[in-house]
Amino acid sequence: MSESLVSNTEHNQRRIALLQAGILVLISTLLFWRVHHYVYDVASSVPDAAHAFAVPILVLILAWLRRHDLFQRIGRGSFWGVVIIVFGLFIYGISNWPFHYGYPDKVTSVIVIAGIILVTCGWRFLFRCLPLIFLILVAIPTGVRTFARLIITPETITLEVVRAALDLLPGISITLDGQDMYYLGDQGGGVIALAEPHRGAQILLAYLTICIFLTFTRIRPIWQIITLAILSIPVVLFCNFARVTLWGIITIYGNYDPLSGVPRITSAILALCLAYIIFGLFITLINSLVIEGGKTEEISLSKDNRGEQS
Amino acid sequence: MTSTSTKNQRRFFSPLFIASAVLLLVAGLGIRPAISALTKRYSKEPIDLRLSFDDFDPTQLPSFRWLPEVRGIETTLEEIETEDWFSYIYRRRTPLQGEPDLDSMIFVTYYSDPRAQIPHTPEVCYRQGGAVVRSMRQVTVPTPDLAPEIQQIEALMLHLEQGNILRILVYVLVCEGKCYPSRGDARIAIGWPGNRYTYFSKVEASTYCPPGTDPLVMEERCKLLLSETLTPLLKYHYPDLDTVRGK
Repeated sequence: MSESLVSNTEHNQRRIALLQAGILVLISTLLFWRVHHYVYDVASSVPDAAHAFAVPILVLILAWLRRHDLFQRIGRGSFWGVVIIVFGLFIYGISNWPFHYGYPDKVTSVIVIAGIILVTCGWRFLFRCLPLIFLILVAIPTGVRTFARLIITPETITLEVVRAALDLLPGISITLDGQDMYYLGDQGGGVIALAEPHRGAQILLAYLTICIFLTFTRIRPIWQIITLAILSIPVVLFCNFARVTLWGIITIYGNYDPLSGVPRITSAILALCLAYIIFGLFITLINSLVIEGGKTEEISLSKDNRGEQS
Repeated sequence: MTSTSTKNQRRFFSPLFIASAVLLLVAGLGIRPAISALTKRYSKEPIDLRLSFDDFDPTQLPSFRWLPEVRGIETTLEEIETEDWFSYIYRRRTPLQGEPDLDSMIFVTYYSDPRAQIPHTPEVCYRQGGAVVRSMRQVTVPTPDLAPEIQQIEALMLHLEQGNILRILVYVLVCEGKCYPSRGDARIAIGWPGNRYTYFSKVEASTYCPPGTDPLVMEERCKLLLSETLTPLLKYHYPDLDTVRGK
């Protein structure tokens, strides 16, 4: 009877904490509705940011998958949450005046959400929410000019590797002039991905979003997370290479106009599926290799829960 | 029952929650109007060049001979979204040993908008024209003619490949009298409070590096051209520091 009363009180406390978090997030939209509007606008118009539409759904799925663990980890709120909120608001302020920085100004919404979680639900809950917070962070688009500068090296290398790969196709000769890829074959010639912005390095963050989502569908020990984070880099780069190569193959063999959307959309969808499959295979491999490690994690989680309850 | 409900109420209205709610509410209602007021009150103002770029004397560079018959970049103010610009072609007066006697170009743009984001810098801009960035690094450019105030500056050196031609380009962003090698640094300088006026200018010097030529030789030529162009720009054209500070 007394155990059930204690458990009931804890249950109530946790529900109150979640309610408080929800109310604070709602109040924060007074300041950050512009950010949400901006992300929506950019995601609607820029392919590199379109994954932002999927992120809320993925966050909800992750939250649902780990709901029991999350609920168990709700503890006492920490004063440091207020410090993080103040820090976020400060960054928001100086990103708007005297400076004019678009990206930090948007990122502060995520910092403030982290602060709210800490204030209401405590450190252990915040720690478990980090993957969700990281997913939201990836959904925030970087500035156009900053992004254009960041992708110079990956884009240049990808285009050269794709040129070499497409050049191996029978009867096809490929030349690269800057970012424009020209092909010449028995059926004639043409251009691949003419005038597409970032044609050699698009939707990189969409592949990364898939990697993050798949990684955190299970609660993993840190070493697995680090291994998968390292693996995600070659996966993202390979999928980008695959996308441009597929784009070229579809354009060449489908005789598509260089401005046609068919090769672009088809190659993007296939590359996203490829990212899912490759990273899924890596995860299956890790899971099968470390079954014992997985069991240890389950045990340690149960111990944690017992400790928290006692 | 009543006691549980009171306890729950007490828990709900905890000091941490109330403090956070008040903080977020005040921020939500107050930050945007505060930013608008601060911007209105303390925003830097645009400023014109002391001496227009139309009055830039292209013959004044000590080591370079101006080629008036060869046009530099052909563009318009609207196209490059600038307020003033010039571009001239030069040859070295006395080429060094092993240095091919090739054309070099200087391209200068000027902007004065406190909310300017600084347009694409050459490493992004020339890619859109089909160039491939082969390397990009920060270099030190000596500026003996500007000493003792400015003895050397940091600039960004680019190797751009277009077709089979290698172009060497060095550029610097001059902002409120100081030189910065990156767009990020210049943006901080534009936003940094204190000065009454703001401006920034991009100065780029470039040349070609034919096959068989040591790129370092052509890099030195670009650095010298940049340094010699900066001298008259800072001395006669850009607004002087006291005016920028509002004194």
